[in-house]
Amino acid sequence: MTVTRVLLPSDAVFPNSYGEDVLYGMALSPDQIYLYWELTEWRIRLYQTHGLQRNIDSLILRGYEQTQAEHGPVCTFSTGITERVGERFIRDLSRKGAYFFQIGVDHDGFVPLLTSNVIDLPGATTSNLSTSMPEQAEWWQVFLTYTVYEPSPWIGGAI
Amino acid sequence: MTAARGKLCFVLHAHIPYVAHSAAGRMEERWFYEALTETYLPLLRLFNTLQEKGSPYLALSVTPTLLAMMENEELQERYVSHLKRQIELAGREKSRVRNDDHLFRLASFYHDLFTMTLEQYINLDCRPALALKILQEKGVIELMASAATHAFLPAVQTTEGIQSQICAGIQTYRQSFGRKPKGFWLPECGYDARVRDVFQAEGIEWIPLDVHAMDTPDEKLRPCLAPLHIGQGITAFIRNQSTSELVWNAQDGYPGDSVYREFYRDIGWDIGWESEEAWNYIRPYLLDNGARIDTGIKYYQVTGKGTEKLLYNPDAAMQRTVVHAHHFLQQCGLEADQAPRSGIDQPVITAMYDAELFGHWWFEGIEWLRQVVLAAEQYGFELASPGYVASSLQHPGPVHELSMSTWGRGGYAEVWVNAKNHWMYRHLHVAERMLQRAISIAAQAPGTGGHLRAAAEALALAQSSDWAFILDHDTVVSYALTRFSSHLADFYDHIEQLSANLSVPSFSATREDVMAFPPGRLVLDHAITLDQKLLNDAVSKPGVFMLTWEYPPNVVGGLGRAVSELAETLAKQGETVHVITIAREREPALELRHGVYVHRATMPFIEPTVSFYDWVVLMNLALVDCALELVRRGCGISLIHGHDWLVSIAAEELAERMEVPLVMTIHATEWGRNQGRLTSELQTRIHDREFAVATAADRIFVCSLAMKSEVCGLFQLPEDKVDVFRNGILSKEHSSVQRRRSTNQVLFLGRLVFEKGVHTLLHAMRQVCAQIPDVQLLIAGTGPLESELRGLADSMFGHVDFLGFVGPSERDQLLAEAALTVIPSYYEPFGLVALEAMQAGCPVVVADSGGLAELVDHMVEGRKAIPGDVNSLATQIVDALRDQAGSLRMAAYAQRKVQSEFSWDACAAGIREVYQQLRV
Repeated sequence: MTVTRVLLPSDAVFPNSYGEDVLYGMALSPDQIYLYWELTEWRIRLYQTHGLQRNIDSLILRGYEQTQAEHGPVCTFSTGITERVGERFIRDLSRKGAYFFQIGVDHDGFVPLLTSNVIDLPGATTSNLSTSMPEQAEWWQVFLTYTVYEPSPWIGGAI
Repeated sequence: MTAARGKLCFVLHAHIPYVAHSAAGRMEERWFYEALTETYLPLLRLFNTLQEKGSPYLALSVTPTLLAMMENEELQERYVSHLKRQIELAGREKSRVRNDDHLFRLASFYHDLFTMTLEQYINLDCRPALALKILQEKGVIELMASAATHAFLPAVQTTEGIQSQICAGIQTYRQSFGRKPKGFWLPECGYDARVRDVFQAEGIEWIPLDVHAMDTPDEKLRPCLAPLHIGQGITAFIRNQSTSELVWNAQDGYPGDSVYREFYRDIGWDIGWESEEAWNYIRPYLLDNGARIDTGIKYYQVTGKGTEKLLYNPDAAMQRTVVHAHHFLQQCGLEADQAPRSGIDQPVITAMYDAELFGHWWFEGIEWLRQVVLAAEQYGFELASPGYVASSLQHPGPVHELSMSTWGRGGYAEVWVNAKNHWMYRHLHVAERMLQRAISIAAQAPGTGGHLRAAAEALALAQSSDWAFILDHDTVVSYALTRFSSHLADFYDHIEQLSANLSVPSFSATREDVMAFPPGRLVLDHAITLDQKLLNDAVSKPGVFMLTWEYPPNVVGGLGRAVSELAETLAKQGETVHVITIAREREPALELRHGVYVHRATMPFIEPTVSFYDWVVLMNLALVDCALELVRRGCGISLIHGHDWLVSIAAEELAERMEVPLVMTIHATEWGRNQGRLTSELQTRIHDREFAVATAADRIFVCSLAMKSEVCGLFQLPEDKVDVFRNGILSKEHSSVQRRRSTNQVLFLGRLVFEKGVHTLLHAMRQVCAQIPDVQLLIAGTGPLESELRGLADSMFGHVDFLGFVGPSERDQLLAEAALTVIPSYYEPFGLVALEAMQAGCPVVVADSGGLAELVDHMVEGRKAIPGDVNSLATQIVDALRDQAGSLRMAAYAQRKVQSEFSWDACAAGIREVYQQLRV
């Protein structure tokens, strides 16, 4: 699979950015997708302040295929990107199916800041976006309502 | 041979981009004239020779842009002038070439052709569209609808945008042809599954598609010799590829035959090079700026590659059309003969072409069509429109799922989205979303309908697939760029006029002076009356944005119930409340729930490895996104009210951005939940977040005096910043205190976490069991301590039952039957469970802590025990069970008190007063 960076026409008179977060993809053929995105500065700032608690070094673009795996979406590629506003042609996709993409940060795991629409490649059945509540996360088992309960104080032995 | 071999369905698609400019004499306008002269009027001549046979011979789509130009009176006049110029030129050519017999015959041919064309056009009252309507009414042809401005629908971002293009195209068709269409031509055969629902709603019964639509995993799919049912009552007619290539093939197709007219040898390019006199001869028939252009007079035939072109021989060319027509029908026959192998007994061959191929690109094409019509029956074919075939199908057959596809290069989207034109779609999609917001805003602003319609029209023109097509083909690139940017600039001009609340990007663009559509010729009403009544209703009401992670039907603890009851009571009192929360299952994105607008943000897919705190940040991002979209649609925010730290990031961000007051309800603190011990980094981080939002908020609400004392001390807040509003409880019908109540059942309701003190209760129950042997403890709830608590209760087999999570009705049943409800919490900011037990008339024993201490006076509304003291708790439980009469008397008193003092009405009224103070 190849990922090609695209150059905008040099005489474009259009805005470079619109101040709205978006990550959107379109199927071009059974093995090609076109993606464009805008990641706003406020979104980056909010995650840097509250999540990462430091500046973001690099952004990652990930692609997931979600119809052929038994246990949920599978990440089929991951690539670094440098631009807040950009686009790519994703070519030579080997798995037929439905894809979605995310742009995010590596923070002991991939944290997605933007998620695209689902792109059904020709030949794939129509699908909806996979969302996940964190029931599979380790901490969900002990998260109840408002916090993550750390190991409890000793509650006494058997009665 | 009878017509038993099958059906031959011709589908012709007539389209010219909207090139009606105010200034006359432009090159683009000539495209329209050429198509009229060489395709549309000749097709009409052909159709008028066809005998009525009880079913249409073929289907023809005429796009709204083409219809608009056909009906444009200014263009009608200009075309008449154009034809007269052509007749004049042809006349002068006869004189110029009079010494060459062959050329003279050709010049005469063109003179006669243009003269006949002008006569025909005048006889039609300059209204070819009306002539087409009459032909349809006679049943000679079937007319199809197409999209409003020929947008490439797979690249339209929103379903509303697709709906708008389709519905406007259908409405324009109805205005032009006086009936509803049954067939629809998707621009470029650009199929997208989203069109099906729209087609069903609009009554479309059939569509033509390219063979690539059949790229599905279903290997048993029939070959394209029969129509396919694609669901929702729609039949797809798939282009027959092998017979199509007989015509379309650039190398070997019929149009490239050596005797046919050479398209590229026009006298507009051929003459006027050798002298000024020669130039001055041809100059008046070119463009006003002197640029060369086709005149329609072409003297040469294709001849062949690498050879000098021979003069065109119309007679030989016409004879060749007979040969090609018969060849075509023979090949159709070979295709049809394969049908039995696929189990098809009535094959249908679908032959789809651009209408302009016939007559314009392939000058002899119309004659070829006529020859096919004449000979079809000889080869066993009945000519029929797909609509007629679809209506005669007895069984629709199984539903086939089709793929996104087109009839363009490669079979998919490559022509319209590639390295040359991809960049257009980001700008189009922004405009699409902007239009939807403008629709919401315009619904609240009378008098803006005109700007909204104009904006919708401008966007539709920018969406024309023609611009991307031109960029791909590298033809008149500058024109396409100018049109695209000009229409978008117009769009934003109108949006800006609509509302100052819409943030309109500014960019410069050269404006093209395109004529407005004649009134009623591009009916985009649907674009501005989208079915978003509830959303429009919601955003028209500025109000409080109430942020909460938990809201019914997603209820984990007491917070969700408390927030919903407060919100609904505020709404009843006249406050507009927009709850912003997240969706967990498949709840609606927007609903009006008991007077409250509930907006649910969708969480993205997140890997299970993401940490808890990062998940919280992402949830807050989703809440902000949801709120901002409402603001962009014109919803005013008067105040942000957040519930607990989990949503505090979003609450602070929105309050700061919108410059509105921020109120936070602190239902509990991390410090409190952990009994003052913050030992992990996560606990500290949560505490710091609570501290930050408590500092940032304009006002803090808590539910008890105990909580006020806690937060003021913990977060160093002045007392007048914190208001106490006790939670209310919705009134309920409960049975009387005495009825059906047991004498030995003790109930615990709540989360199984340390602060609830369930372990203290289990230790106390050992003492209770020793004194009251038949006592039973029911523990209703779940939590992280469950397995440890079960371990603790092991030796009390028969006396303790863990019931797990219970729903509202089961909870009410338990409260109605229990002899006693025990709430032994170490930390309880309010004590909603105690309130519920009291409302149900169930006697209570509570720990003397936090909010519980304020709800119950000892031996008045119930009994109190020392928090964490096993002996104290055991004593109070035994006393309560042994003194049934006393317990029930206190329970009756508590029930009356709850009914009179804990209504949400009083709480909400108090909160509204604070809102008002802050909003001033």
